[in-house]
Amino acid sequence: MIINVLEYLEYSYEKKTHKIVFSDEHNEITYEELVDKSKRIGSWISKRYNVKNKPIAVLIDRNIESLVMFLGVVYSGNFYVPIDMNLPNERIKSMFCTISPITIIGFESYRNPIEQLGYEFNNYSDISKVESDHKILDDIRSKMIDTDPLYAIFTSGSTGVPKAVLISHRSVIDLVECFKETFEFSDNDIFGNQAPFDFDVSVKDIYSTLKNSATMQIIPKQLFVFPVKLIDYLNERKITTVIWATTALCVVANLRAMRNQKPLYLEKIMFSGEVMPIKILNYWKDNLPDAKYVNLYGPTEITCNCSYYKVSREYELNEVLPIGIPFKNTDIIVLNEKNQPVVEEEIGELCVRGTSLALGYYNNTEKTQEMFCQNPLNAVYPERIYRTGDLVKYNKMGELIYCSRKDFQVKHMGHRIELGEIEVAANAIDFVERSCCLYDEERGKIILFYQSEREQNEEVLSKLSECLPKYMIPACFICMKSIPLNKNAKIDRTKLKEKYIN
Amino acid sequence: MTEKVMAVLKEINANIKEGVNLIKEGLIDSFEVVHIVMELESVFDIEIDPEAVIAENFETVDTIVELVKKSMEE
Repeated sequence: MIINVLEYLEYSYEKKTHKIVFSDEHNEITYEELVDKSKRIGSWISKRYNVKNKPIAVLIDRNIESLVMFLGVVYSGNFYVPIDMNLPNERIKSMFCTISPITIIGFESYRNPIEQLGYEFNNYSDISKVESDHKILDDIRSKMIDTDPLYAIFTSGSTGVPKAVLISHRSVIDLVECFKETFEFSDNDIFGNQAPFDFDVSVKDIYSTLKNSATMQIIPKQLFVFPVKLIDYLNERKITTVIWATTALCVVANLRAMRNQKPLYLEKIMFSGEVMPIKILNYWKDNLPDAKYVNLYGPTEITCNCSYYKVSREYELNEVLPIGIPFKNTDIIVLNEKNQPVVEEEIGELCVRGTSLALGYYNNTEKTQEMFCQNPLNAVYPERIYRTGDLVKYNKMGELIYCSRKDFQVKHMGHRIELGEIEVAANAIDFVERSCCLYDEERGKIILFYQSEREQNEEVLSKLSECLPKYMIPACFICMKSIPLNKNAKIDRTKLKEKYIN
Repeated sequence: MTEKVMAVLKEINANIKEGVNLIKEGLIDSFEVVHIVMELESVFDIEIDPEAVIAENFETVDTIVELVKKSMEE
């Protein structure tokens, strides 16, 4: 029975001792070296602090050392909190304030900024040099259980204060077991990691690699800025599987990066985070017709993903790619406003039940109780569900279709409108690349931002009139050459609002 | 020309200025280059060769202006 993610690492170490486990642009590390280094860090932490299940902040970069530090923290019986020092200072302060880390570890270059903030800092080279103490490590492990926390990842709180989502070993074990079974991963897979380590998309890369005795290539961030060389990199590193943000796939398509070069080894292309535009999916399918494509869905609070859809047919531009069906050992309940399960094609909020649920928001009981609440369908024993705030419905095949955020539901002229529905209609117009709808409460106006080469408001208006009721037609059209994205590569609604006001 | 390019860049990041290395200073990041390219293509009505979307051409405001000039000639 597996109760700790380190068992994956140790199993793969036994099986593939000298195989490369992680590789970045300049360095690589074998399973053997990874076990050795992370045990040293684990020993150092436990000797120095002698605590368990406490947060330790790891200052991340796009390198293998960040991952060595993660696993070192796990060996010490504590949990890691990845922090990107490129974030604004105020945000970093607010994160440290939320978690009060036992210590902060990273490369020496971060010492000054951390000490200036008034926190203790320890550098990677020092803590990875000490001898491992196997007795201490064995003792820690024997007392750990699978509901102990593994990591906390911050999500951008819409209220301004970031929340630290705390995830247990058990939830990650559940995730990687399902991924292996569903997508048939093996030790032949080479994962091409795009997601930053403070973003939970990367959790799938890291632990699928360890579980399957595979190899993970950390792709330099620069290559997503200049994707022409990205394809070369995928080929040089023989990458077979990518689990990327949808926007990363869009970048390749929008810059026509596969015009001269095609990925030669890529077999599985999985994406999440944003609705995948059918145009972009088709670009990829045209260039790589034999690859498998999977749409993944889920928020950080339920450990990466709760549903998946294997693309199995052609899609028309006006169709929406389903978010599919729940993973094994995950239950999805769609509840309407009366907290009853929806019937037929009724829209409701997607709620999740299962082992994958986070332990909660660290040091935030109030928010935890609000978002992780009692299953309204169960009045007889305590049972938590997570309310995603995402509105979905079932199609005729019983697959889930994402409609919009709950918060983007507006009441306009007495009608209830899902802004997402207008976006879907706009995205179906052939010259519209992306779109986003906002609602101006004050003036009672629907505003449509659309991304297109040329401004063609009249054309958009007439196309929308063809498929939407009159009350859903936007009053104001704003054409943009590119719709702004936030750090998580999602449409930046705040910036759009600012632009509209100005 | 430089002014027009600057206007595009300022939209992306208000801190961008002439004479600094935009990439080393982290002033253009993540997916923003794609935005800049698409924006420049439409403002100047040009098509930028995907092969030209490399770090060297986006290091400074001057190299971006050069890139636009070259793309206009083609």
